Amino acid sequence: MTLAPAAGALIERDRQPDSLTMTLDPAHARALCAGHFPGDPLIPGSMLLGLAVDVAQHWLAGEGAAARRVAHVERATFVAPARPTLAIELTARHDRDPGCVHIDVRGDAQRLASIRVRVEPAS
Amino acid sequence: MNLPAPGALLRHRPPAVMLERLVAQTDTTLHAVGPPREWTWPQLLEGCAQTAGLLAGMTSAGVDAQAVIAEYRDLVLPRAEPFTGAPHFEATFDRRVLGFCRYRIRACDADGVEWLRGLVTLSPPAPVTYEPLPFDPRLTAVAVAAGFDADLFNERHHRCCVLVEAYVATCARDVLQALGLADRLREWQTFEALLAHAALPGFRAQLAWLLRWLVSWNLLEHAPATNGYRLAANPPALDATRLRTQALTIDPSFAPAFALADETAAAYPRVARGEVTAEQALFHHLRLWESYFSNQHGYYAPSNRIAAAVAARAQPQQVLELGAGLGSATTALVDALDAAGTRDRLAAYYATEPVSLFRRRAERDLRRHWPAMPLHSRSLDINLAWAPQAGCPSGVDLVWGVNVMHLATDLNAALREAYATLTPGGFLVLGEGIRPQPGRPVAAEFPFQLLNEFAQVELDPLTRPEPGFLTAASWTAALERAGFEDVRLLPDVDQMCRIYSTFYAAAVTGRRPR
Repeated sequence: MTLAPAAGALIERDRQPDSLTMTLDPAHARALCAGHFPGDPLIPGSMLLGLAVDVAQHWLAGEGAAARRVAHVERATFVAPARPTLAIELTARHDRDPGCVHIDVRGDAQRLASIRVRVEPAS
Repeated sequence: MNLPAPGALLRHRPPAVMLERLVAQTDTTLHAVGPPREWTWPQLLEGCAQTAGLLAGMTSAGVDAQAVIAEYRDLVLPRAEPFTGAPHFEATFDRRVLGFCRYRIRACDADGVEWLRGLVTLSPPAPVTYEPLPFDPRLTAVAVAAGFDADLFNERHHRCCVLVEAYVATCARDVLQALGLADRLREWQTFEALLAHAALPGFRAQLAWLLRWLVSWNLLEHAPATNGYRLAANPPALDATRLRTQALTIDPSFAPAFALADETAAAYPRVARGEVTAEQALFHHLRLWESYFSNQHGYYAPSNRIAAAVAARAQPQQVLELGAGLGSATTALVDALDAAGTRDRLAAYYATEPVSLFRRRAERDLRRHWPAMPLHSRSLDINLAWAPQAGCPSGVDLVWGVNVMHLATDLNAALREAYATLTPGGFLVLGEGIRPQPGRPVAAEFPFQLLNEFAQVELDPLTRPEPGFLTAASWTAALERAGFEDVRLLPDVDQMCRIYSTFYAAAVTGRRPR
């Protein structure tokens, strides 16, 4: 999987022993909405999921454990529109299943998406 | 097979369009190809999603071309490197559950080597989120000019109030459905025909209110010449769940307003058919009323705070409170007196309430909070002569009550009683919701108009043309008829209605001449 967020798209805001929160740069959020949709800007779910996986990868990389990568998105549920005007935060934390990471996406504190990914050793 | 260009079908516009052309379609599968370039995996996923979205709009099994992504599931990303080339996208209908459609999706290279696979669920397009008109900060300025805190009339409160009103419109719509009238309203129906169809002769006033309320929200059309109604051709998209979520996200303390609206909507059909009285249907939920009339309830609390703030300015020594209920207005006044540093002046506080259950609970709570308060808990019925009632003191310098006096059967008589109870120079302060125009329904009436006490008042075409809440002009005239001077509404509701015409809480005040 490519870890290729635009430079500066995600900014680390809070790192705790059990979680990492990153904020989405508003300019990048607006750029993701180009053409999606005219007059009704909405960050595509695929791109939001890509960012969530980036946060998970960033967190795993900073944990100092053996290198791991996200290879499988078990579930990504979108519960509210991700508008570029919202202050979007993505928080990765351990899932109950030690092989998984949970990423919570919020906009202005309202939950936008809930994502669970499975990690495996990087080959 | 000639397939249309994806760009002609998608809502997406470049650069968000991931598909270059459609290459094959059956009733359950769609194949598309993207332009040759380097692709990240989220872009491959977006191409798959667009393929599924197109299939949804092109087949009878789908949802809608405007469908939105509800969920991705079991996405497998077998390769770590980016993809270079022209990807092939495939979407196959998998199953439909409760209006949601699930599709299996794949992205491959030209040789069929898989780069991504999984499932995507599409939901029907969401209803448009209702957006109240922007808040006009001049409203706050009017309130501040009348000496109130700016936070009593702010954007947050305004938005939540409008969302409650919109929610009540959805409740009224549901009630018409439950009464079997919604289908008939596809064609013009006179009011009398609707009343007759539903066989609800005793429900005339309430049905008229429901219809007028729905007209005010453009959910119904009204033909005044025939007093006919029908469903509006282009009604606003009001989704009850979304409205509630919107409001409670802004301010969770508005929850009791929604709870009472739900309870009332459920009671309407049974009350309309005479199966229960509104009092039976609604009054057994004491906790619901307790939370509704609470100072922690964002929708209701301003009524108490506004009236209490004005009452405290009188620096009273002898107070008679009407319809004290469960004591939330009393609490607001004690808080206001504390804030002004004048509670020590209180020599006697007569908290009156005719319902013994409410009175006992209020007394218990007030004594617990303020053991030294000179509290006298009494029963007083404002619809009878006050002086002969054991609960009525004489010679008080403040008579006040919140959302009480508009329930007086004979408003003129009750105001004269208040006047007689005051010492010369004493103040009357009434916390009331103010109807913006005669005949205009307001959301707060939705539950209360079911109650006999609310509806059975003496009407007069000039001074009190309708039950329930009064207009600013009606209040002013009523107090002046009773002999009060210096009659005012605080804040200046007329001025606020010129800025944004709606239902505002205000303190109606007057003074007995010296």
